[in-house]
Amino acid sequence: MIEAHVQRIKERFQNAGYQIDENEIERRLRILLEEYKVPVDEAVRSVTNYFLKEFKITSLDLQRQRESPVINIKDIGQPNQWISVKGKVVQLWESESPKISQVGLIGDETGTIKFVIWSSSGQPPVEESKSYIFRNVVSDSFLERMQINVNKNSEIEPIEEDIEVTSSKLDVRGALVAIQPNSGLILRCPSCNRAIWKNKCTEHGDVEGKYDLRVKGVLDDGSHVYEVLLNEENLKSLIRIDVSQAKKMAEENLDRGAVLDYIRGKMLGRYFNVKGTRVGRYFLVEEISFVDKIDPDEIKNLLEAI
Amino acid sequence: MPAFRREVAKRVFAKEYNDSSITFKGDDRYSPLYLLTPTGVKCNRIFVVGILLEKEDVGGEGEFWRIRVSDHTGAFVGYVGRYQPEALQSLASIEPPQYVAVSGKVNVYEGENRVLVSIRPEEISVSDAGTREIWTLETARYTLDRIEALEKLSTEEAKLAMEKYSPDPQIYRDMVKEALKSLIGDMGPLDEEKEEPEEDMEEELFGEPSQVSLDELDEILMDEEWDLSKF
Repeated sequence: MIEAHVQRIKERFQNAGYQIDENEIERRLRILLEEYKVPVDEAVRSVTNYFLKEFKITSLDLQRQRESPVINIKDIGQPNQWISVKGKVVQLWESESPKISQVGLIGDETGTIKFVIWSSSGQPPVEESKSYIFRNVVSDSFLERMQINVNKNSEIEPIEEDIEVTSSKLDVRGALVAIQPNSGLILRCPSCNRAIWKNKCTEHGDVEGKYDLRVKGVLDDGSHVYEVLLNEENLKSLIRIDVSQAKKMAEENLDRGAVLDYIRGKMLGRYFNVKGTRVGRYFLVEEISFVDKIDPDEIKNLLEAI
Repeated sequence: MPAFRREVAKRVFAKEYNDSSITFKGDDRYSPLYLLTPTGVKCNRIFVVGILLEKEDVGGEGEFWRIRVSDHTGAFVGYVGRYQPEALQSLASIEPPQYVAVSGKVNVYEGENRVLVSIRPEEISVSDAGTREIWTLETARYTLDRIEALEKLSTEEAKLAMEKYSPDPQIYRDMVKEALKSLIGDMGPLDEEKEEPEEDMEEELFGEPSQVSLDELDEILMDEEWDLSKF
């Protein structure tokens, strides 16, 4: 039984490029299991941690294959995976921290994703509209969006190929089955544009927040769910409300929640036609309209087809 | 731990939903509970647009509402308690009869010799006739697709449904037909063939089998309300 665990530990390290002596693993496991009667799982964890410390690495490094597989951007759905991405740098954004050397958007034929190149990675800078392979990067989710991190184990290699980027356009009809509580009239930090609470930004401290109107909701068509983000423009065209009207509504009711109640009343449980772009797990809405009443002929046709 | 993925709200008619009894969980321990319906849709969450026919506070301490929401084939039973704050709040201002849209979790009580299904609404909102028409047509399409898959055994769910329920596809095809016919009846100005929905509804509501067990179900669900581990 011990032998199997020894092999498992050995392999995990081996896959990540670290060699450990089997006898040493076995000796340490036996002490814990036989002398101290530690449960197996705990013993395995403890021994693994011991070697992690020895090599000065983290358990994340163990999950890394020596050459992480190149995967399509749309398939990046889970944090903490070692992957490689082949794509074109679509946009570079301003870095907000000296620890980050570059931040931007990379895209391939299947979609786009935010990337962060940490200064500690020591990689040469990338340029907009050029294509690269980002090798051994780690997927991560930050503020509920997926991104990829370029760290000191990563490597960025320019390629000749010109990658065609699709912006993953979507055109969906579905029901709005949920509206998140942080929707409605919100305050944003004037520096970073993040939604904030009571004029306090987690990044910039006390700030004078500016009002905005948004809906974060779930559109469900019975086969897929889409996390939709509606902005003031969308809401203006759909239910005729803008920031100034929303502020008035909040003032009259002495409650910002009144705006959310109004939006929920108009939109929750209704069907919509939505066009937009997928960015990470979010669906940024460009056009939205209520689904029209059903044409009776549509029902008759379906009945005849049965 | 895998990244959180929201479950899709499936579209099922009440008759089919209430005919369901087979549940299962996925492979990993975080997997939620699914109810398999006779035409083979695995559901953890459903979305319904229908008519709120009744709401009754059946709770002892605190509010615990039992609601009935009908479509053209029957009625869904739902339970709303303090762990569904959004639904509870909305329900307070809605009086039956009223068109409502409900999204909720599948709720299953497995007793010794029977299985009782209901919904645990997460959101309830006032709706209208037009939205119900869209829902009915959409649910009809999904159901017909599943019936076809069932006959061809072309999906895993269809195979499983056939194995567990050996359903007669014709029953569910007739169900869809009836639903679509009543839809035309609702929409058309005056239809000679228009049935008397009131009476049908009564039958669906108070006939076998759910009414028999409702009181018992109230008790069980009230006791179990805190136990969300199943979901």
